[in-house]
Amino acid sequence: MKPFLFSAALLMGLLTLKAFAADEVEKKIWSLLDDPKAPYVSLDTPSFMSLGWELPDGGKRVTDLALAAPGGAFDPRDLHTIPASVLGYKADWIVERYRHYNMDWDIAGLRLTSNDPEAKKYPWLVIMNGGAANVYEFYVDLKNRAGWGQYLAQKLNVLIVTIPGNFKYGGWDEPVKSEERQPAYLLDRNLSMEESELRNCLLTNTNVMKGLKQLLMKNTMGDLLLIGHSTSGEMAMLANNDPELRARTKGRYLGWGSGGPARMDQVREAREGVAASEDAGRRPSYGSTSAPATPRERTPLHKLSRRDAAGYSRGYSRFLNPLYEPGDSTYQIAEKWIKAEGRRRAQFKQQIQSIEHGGDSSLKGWIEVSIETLLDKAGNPWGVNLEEVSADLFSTHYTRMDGYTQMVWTVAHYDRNHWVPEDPMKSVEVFFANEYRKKNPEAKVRLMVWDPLMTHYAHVELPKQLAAATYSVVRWFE
Amino acid sequence: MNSSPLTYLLALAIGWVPCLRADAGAKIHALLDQDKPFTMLSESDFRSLKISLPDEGKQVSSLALAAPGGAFDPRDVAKLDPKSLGYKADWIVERFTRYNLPWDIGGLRLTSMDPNAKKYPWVVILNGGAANIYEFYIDLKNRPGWGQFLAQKLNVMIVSIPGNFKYGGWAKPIADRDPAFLLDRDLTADEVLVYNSVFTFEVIHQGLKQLVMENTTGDIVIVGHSTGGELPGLAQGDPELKARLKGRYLGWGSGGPVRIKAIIAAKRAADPTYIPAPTLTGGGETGGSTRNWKQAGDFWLNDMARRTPQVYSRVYSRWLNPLYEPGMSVLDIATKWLEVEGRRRANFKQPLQDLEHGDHFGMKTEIEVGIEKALAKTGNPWGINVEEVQKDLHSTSYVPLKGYRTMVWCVGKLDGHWNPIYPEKGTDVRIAEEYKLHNPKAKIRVIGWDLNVTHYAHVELPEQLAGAFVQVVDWMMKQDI
Repeated sequence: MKPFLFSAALLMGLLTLKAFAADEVEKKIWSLLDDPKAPYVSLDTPSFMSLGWELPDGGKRVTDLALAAPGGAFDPRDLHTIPASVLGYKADWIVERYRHYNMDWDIAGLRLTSNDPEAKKYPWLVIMNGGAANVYEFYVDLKNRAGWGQYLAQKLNVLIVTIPGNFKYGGWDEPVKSEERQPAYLLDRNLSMEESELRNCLLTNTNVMKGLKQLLMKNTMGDLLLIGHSTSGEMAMLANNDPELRARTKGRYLGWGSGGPARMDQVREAREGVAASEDAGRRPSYGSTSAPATPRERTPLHKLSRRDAAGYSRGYSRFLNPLYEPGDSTYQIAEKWIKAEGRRRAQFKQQIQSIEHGGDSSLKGWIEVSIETLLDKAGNPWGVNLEEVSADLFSTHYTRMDGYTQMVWTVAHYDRNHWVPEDPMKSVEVFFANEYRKKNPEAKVRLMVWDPLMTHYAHVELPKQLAAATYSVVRWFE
Repeated sequence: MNSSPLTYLLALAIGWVPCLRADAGAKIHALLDQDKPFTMLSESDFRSLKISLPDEGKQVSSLALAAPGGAFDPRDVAKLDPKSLGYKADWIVERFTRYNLPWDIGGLRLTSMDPNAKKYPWVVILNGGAANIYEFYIDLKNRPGWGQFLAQKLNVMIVSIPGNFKYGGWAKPIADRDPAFLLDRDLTADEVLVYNSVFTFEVIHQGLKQLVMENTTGDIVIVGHSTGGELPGLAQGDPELKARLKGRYLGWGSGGPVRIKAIIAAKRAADPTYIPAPTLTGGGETGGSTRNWKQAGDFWLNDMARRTPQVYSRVYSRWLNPLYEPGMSVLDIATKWLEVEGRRRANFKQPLQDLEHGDHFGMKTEIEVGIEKALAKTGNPWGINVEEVQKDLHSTSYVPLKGYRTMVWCVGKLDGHWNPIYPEKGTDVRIAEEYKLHNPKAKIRVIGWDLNVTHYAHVELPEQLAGAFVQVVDWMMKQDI
């Protein structure tokens, strides 16, 4: 009995010590974020690494589900069958069908309603995938272990959103490079190639925004914090243009590898005379295919850009990737990644997403002509009105930058598209934060760097720690 | 007596003119009835179009000749007896607010004495970049202008875009003058900098709408000349103006909105067989694509294009210009033109007008930064919110292309909008072709005046041009029957 008591006391002591340490790190995060003058602040690696909490079942049930499914593409509806007490949250898979351009679209969200009664005090944390990803990487890691969303949901209500097309029940059978691998814009039926190609051109940010809004308005209540990862950073910014969403974000912004809206894309160049080539790294480009300059050589708009190891080895695959093994080159990590996620992850991106997220608004005419050509070819059985599409194009260039009260960009030390560790003040995130500071002089605008050598994909690298760090930032907002 | 040769000749002469009028009018109708890429009205028919003025325009000419530089006060026109003019003239100034700034827009409303005018829409004429009301109301020699002739048959509103009209004209040379965005006071240098920097098409659109909605009733057609050609497109996207346009479009040297120009450019760029057709004229403006917009430095949005004889000699000054005299070169004509119109005509244009009228969407950021710098320099005592301005930028790239029922472009043969060598490849013909794709059921026509008139035919042959427009408007209205 005595050894048991001793062990229990030791465990309690360790837990208390850990809780105490976590409290201290949280205070450190708050203290850093309280600094109104610093253009950016960094949380040191030991502090970051000390963060995190456990899951009730260690995430085992979800991992089992994923491991049992080909390519890890488990059915998110099955999560509903796992008791909330085992998960630490109640999981619901929600699909909202909405209509835009006279067509139906599906947008999906994995809603994780925390068991923690304190969660109600905080906004819903809405995480949206970037161009080629989907719900999975925010919920499980590349080895199907517990992911960022699972940890976050122990403390916060979380909604992980997959943009239309990027999720498919059971994943994709076709190889990433196959033209047959097309987005699943509707989850209950396959689309003809003709329709897929047209829809690839119609996935404007305004289209995604409409679905996102419906998902949020129908399935969450109260305050919101929108985290748009990577290309979907546009979504959080666009929400600021929408009166109903604006009323729920209440002037708060939280970024994770998000950057700024396309509207800001060429501001530094315009203001400081930075050469375009020097400035090229400001917009995440890894893994994406930018359109060649000559119109006649430009990749047709309906063609998808497809992820490959070469693209993912450049800046996304580093040594905290779960698939890294000693001796692996970054290319080898990327190869494993693309392979491991070859079924359940979309691994493609519509050019319209890249173009609207980039600064090349001069392509508006070309986009309209491309869509018109496809409609003419198909006879437009869908009744798509090109006028409605035209009105939506480049909404990303019109995001309102005012009206914010609190903004925090979080970025990983080795997210090369967003952070320049050798010269931090040249980082785009610093630039964006400064621009918003100018537009919102009364707001608390902060930039937090997580100092470990994590990349743009830290949510699959150190999800546990990232969740705790993000939680502390959310609490700082309050 | 009845059989005397003199009487016979007199009767013939009296009968001849109406006969020619009727013929030319009927020909315009017949040409417009044809669903062809373009049609042309012959020179003899065009020249035969006549409209007489009750006093032959003498009172207005006297007003203009008495004013320095011809810059008569349009309020004085309102004092003239409508019966002697053929219309009731009113000078209307509407003040409106945008971007927290007050703006004035002026309109010369000519309510026709012809009772039949009520059967037709108000013809709203809007000047292009560097002009104002004068050239649409009197010619370069202060003789009756296009608007005076038009108003004999139709209700007309001639609009000066904000900044381009000033009471008494400008005493300063073209190179030094500032726009008169407010008509009751001069602006400070800081105000000029900021006004010019935020002079978007949405500013004009708002002012135009207020002017039209408050001062006219019933149907309208908006004739946006030159750069003003963007306005009918913007109006089509405005529910209240659209309801009054009723799907009608009437162009005069108008071209198309930048949205459609971008579409055409994209189609051409993607077509390996496309070769630009040789033209007789080329463009009249400084080439947009090669222009170094920011050469003036931080406050480049205040660096207005100022009209010079060189620019106006390229395609605007030809031999039907009232100032032309035998032996003159086109540069001579242009020099004289800018000299005689040196006071009352604005003769400047803001870069933002050109940028929004050209395919320069990619410069939105540069514009925003330019505005920011202007505001920073001045301290922004007006409380202008750049967020309000940025949402308006490049609205011209978003005008609707659908919803039209009757569209007619009228073009002078020597206008850059026409191609006299390959008429089927002319700019406005191509634009109309694009509109046909978007409005397959609409009657879409392009009619060229087959004589050596330019982009400025309204000062070259205003009477005939008015006669032609009366027929075109009449044809447009008949399409509703």
